[in-house]
Amino acid sequence: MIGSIFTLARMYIKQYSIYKSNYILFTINRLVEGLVYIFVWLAIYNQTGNAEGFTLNEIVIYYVLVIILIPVTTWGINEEMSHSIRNGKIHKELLAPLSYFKYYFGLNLGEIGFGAFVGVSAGIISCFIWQVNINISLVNLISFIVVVLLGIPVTFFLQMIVGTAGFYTNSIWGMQILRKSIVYIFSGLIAPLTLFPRMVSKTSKYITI
Amino acid sequence: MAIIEAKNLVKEYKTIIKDKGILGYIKHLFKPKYEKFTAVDGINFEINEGELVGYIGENGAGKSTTIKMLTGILTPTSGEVIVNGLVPYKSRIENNKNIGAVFGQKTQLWWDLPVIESFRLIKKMYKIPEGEYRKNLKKFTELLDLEDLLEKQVKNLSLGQKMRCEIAATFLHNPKIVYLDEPTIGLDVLVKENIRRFIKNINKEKNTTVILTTHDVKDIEEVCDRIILIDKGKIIFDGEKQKFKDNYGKNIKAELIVKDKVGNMAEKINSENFTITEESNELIKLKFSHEKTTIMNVMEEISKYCKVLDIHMQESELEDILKEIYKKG
Ligand SMILES: Nc1ncnc2c1ncn2[C@@H]1O[C@H](COP(=O)(O)OP(=O)(O)OP(=O)(O)O)[C@@H](O)[C@H]1O
Ligand SMILES: [Mg+2]
Repeated sequence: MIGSIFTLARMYIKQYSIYKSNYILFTINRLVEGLVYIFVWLAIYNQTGNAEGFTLNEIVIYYVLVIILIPVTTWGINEEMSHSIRNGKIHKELLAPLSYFKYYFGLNLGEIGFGAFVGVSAGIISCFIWQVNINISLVNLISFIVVVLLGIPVTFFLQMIVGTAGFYTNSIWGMQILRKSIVYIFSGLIAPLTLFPRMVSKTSKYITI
Repeated sequence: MAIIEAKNLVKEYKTIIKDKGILGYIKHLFKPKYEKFTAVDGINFEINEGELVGYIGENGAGKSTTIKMLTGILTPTSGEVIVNGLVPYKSRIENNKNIGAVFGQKTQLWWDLPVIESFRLIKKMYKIPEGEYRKNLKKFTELLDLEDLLEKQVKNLSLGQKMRCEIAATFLHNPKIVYLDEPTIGLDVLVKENIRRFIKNINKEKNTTVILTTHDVKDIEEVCDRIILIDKGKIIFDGEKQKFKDNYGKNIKAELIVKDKVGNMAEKINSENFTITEESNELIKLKFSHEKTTIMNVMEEISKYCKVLDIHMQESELEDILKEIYKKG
């Protein structure tokens, strides 16, 4: 069973990797997104002379991490899932000797695997652009990775909820945007959580995204 | 013992009914109205291991719906299905291990990847032992002529090439039962031939039970031993292919080569027992029913007006029989 899940994940990654343009475009996307965030903060910094108590270097590092994490936390299979419900490809998934849930967990793993690859690539490039020197301890790195791995099931459940909405609605896009916005805000991808109104940061403690 | 059993199987679809015009559609937003439509209406059958069954009927008769219930993709509204001791929609995953299915217009192969990748995934998912996988792959490659296709991306294959790969993928894990829903749709005669031979071959070797729906009567002629005919969700015939012909195919066509014909035959002979469908100076084509008369009687009548040189008789083919049945509705 574990074998099947990993094979599915591998298939998914292969499917993405067959077109080089996928990788290049996704990576550029991430770089541009990161660039925009950092420029906004630079503008704030230049105007007001501070960035809510963060140093400029801290802000840049924060967003380099965001660039790495965005694909891992916001990518997923909900679109694929609802398309397959709508165009009937779901029959293939229902005929597999593996539960629907596990089947998609495999695909989701593949998506996130590829996302991690894109994220890390974009992260490394931005380190060069912004001349960030990373010196983190091994312990920090490992706990960072562990936290990211723990997040995978959580985001997967969210993906499942939005994806299976395909049974009821044909506008997944709206749901998808909603899901993304929630994840963006509560996981601090847009801005550090400490900068939000207290209610939001409090809520985010209970929402484990 | 029956490997597939359907008892009083019913599937009702709920369809939305809308009033006309944009207002009707908007009204529906607040107060939806539904209508029930019975696609499969209380069917019963038993299929034994190793049987090759042709499941036929007009467009919209309920064939695909039945197949979907047998595979467990759809839950029946009422009635019972038991496949290999399991209730498919309850133990779908367990059941999936024993079955294979092709839905003609859809593909189970991975669109962007080479065909062989999909095969490898199947091997992994169904836990096919290495040796068995190799053996099957080699055999299927030969039988279905897949040699040059395995490394190609699925999206680049033609319809017929894709279907051959699809069929191979379906049989790869040695399923006990295979459901083929229009596997020959849109294929050329050679590919069809190839696929039919493959199905028969595997059935013979592995005793695989095959249920085949198709609109190509030749598929049935060549592959199936048994026919289940369904119309508006009800079974109207279930039995051996030959019996089907005997039951419905009472019409016989005959062609007579004649000489010294005098005048128009159709006008002169007004027999209730046979009808002349076509005639010229040398040839008369006619149709009669076994039950009403014999060829000898027909000849006797005809030879009053001409000299018969030769006769050519033909039992009606499956296609003609089906045409008659479908026309009657
Ligand atoms: N999801 C659905 N909702 C409502 N009605 C449906 C649905 N699926 C099928 N039907 C209806 O059920 C009937 C049987 O459909 P089915 O697909 O089983 O026919 P079929 O015998 O396979 O026909 P064909 O030879 O055209 O493939 C049709 O009248 C169809 O319109
Ligand atoms: Mg059909």
